[in-house]
Amino acid sequence: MYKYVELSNFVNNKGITTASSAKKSSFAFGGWYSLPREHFSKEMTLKEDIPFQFHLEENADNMELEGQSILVETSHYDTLYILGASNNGNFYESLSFFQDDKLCYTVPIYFPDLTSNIPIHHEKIAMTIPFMHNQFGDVHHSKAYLWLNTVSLEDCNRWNTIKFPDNPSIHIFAMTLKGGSSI
Amino acid sequence: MNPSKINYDPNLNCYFLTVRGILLRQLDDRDVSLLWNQSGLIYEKMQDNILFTPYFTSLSDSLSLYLNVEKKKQTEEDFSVFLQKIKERILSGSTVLVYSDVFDLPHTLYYQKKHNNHAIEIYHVGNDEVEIVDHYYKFEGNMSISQLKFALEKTNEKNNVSAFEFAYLDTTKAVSPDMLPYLWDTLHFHRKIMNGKDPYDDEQHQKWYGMEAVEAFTRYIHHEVFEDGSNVDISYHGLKEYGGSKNNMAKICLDYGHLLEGLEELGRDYQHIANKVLTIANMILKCFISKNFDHYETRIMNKLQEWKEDEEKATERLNALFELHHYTLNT
Repeated sequence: MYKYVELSNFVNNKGITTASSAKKSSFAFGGWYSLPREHFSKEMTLKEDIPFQFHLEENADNMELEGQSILVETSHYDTLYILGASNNGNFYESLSFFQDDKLCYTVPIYFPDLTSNIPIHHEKIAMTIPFMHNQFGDVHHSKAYLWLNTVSLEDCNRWNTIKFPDNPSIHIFAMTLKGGSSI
Repeated sequence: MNPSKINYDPNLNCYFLTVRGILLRQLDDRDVSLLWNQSGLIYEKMQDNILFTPYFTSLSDSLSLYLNVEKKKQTEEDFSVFLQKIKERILSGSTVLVYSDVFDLPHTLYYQKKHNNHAIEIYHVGNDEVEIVDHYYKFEGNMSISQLKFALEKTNEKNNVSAFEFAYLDTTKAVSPDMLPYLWDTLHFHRKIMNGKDPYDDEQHQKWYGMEAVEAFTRYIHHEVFEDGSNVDISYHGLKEYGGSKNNMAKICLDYGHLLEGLEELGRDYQHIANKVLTIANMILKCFISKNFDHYETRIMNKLQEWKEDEEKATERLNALFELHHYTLNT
């Protein structure tokens, strides 16, 4: 029913840390803040019972967008769930789906700032984290939010590649596909 | 739980946020949001520096022009008299704005780290403490009077002034603007600037407007970021301020799109430009912090080219909107 999109080869940014390793965060400029490691596990079921896989690795745990292309097994998927947030502002971009080199489908994705609880469009808060770490200690007066974009793939029957735009302000932590029968 | 006193908007700087926060305690949200209707493009060569700004009218002038609100300042040499005057002003119905160095404000990220003048609202004056609202850093809470005194003394020292100063907004004669004249006035200034003209026909300074400003600032960014590389302050802050102003303009166009054919489409163009410009600002900062100039140069220059094309398209749409409504470039 659900299939994780494998991001381990694509994570290029550190946003989740322990209190003592907060200085290693590269999510915000100059390591201003990071998400507390104790609020994450490798697999988590979030909003609307959607499971996500996190990549809680030493040096990187999220994908900062810089034009990556991710190959996915061709199938009839119904929906793509994308979990992420922006740094230093609210941002949106277009996500493209290709079958090899042929563009099949383009859809906008919206990611508000990590500290904002107001959507830009129709995206929803999937995870509320009560505090953040920064290099001087814990920041309790600002919560953090991970946002869920739900992309319907009903109009996109056959594809095998997701192409991301170049926007390093947007960070993707996990992606899950729903549906999928081999074709 | 009491409702928050904070009014945050990522598109406004600390001064704008504080003025807006103070006004929203007295006036309607719809009218207050009309103040941020400037998003021109002006590039000016100064003696040792450059200025890149979306603003062509001061906020004080906009307050007076659109809402008939007057921004007033009060200065006092003695701190206890200063505090007493603030107390009286708040009791008479208006909270006040003060500037303090962030270096001495414990709730900010820059406490004891970096110097920068920062606007905050004083909401209440008690016996030993003042209640402050920092809309920019999303903080509301108390500060001891001795701490405030210390912070403002240090700020005065840094700025080489002796008197303590606060500002307040006189809203006793406030009005609500008529929307159509307001929209035409706003669009008229933007059309003039984006077509390369000074909105006030000022020929005194060496300035570039509209697309020429985009090109001049692009050249400046390349020099500051990739040739000099020692500082990206002007490039980053110039783009950040402009992106925020474009989002504010977009909001006005989208909110009142039903009043004028073509306005909603223009609002979407402006939203798109704001997203692009703020992306470039963040890219520049990431490039500067990582010092990975080779990794970012082509990416940033490509985005700057896209920005220019987006501005050209939006200006064409703005001109078309005037043609549609029978205005000419010379009106």
